[in-house]
Amino acid sequence: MAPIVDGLARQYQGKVSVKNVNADTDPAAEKLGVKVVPTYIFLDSTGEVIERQDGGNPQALQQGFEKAAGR
Amino acid sequence: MQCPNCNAETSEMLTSCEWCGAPLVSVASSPGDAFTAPPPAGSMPPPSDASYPAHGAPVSQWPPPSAGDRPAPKPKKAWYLTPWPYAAALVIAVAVVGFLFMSGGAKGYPELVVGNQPTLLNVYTDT
Repeated sequence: MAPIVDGLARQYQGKVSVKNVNADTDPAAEKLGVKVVPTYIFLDSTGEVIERQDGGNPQALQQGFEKAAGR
Repeated sequence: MQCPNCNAETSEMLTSCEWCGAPLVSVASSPGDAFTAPPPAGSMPPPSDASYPAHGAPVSQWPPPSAGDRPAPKPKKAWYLTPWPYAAALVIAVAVVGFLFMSGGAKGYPELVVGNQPTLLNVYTDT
């Protein structure tokens, strides 16, 4: 999934930022309540959760980028 | 004292029997005896009064009090016809919705936003 995420990040550069969170070392992972990896959480500019996806699904990931870019 | 006519017990203060109305002959009614005090003001007329409907009849035959003597009992209103249960339910509902709204609004992560724009948090593991 990493190449797909990188490709979508370049496609939506300037509209959607990407932040990598290491579930083993980053305390933010515990704060987010992550139980499954990979998990993709889309936040709007205020930090509100737009969408949360557990597991890798390229189509759902692209739809999430489109949804976030529209905010 | 006992009435000589109907043998019922009656007050010796009266000049006639309160049950049958027959005149009573008592020691107190003799000339020169003590004056019999009139009944207190506002009291009901004694049974010896001819206008009384049960004149001359014993207590067991007195007519029951009419409906006009007592005030009619007010019918109780059913609880679902009063506004208070609905007002209480409305207050509780508003409180619950408000609590859920407030608690839902606290689930943001503004500290994880990058570049003040929508952000994807890619949670991964090295293992």
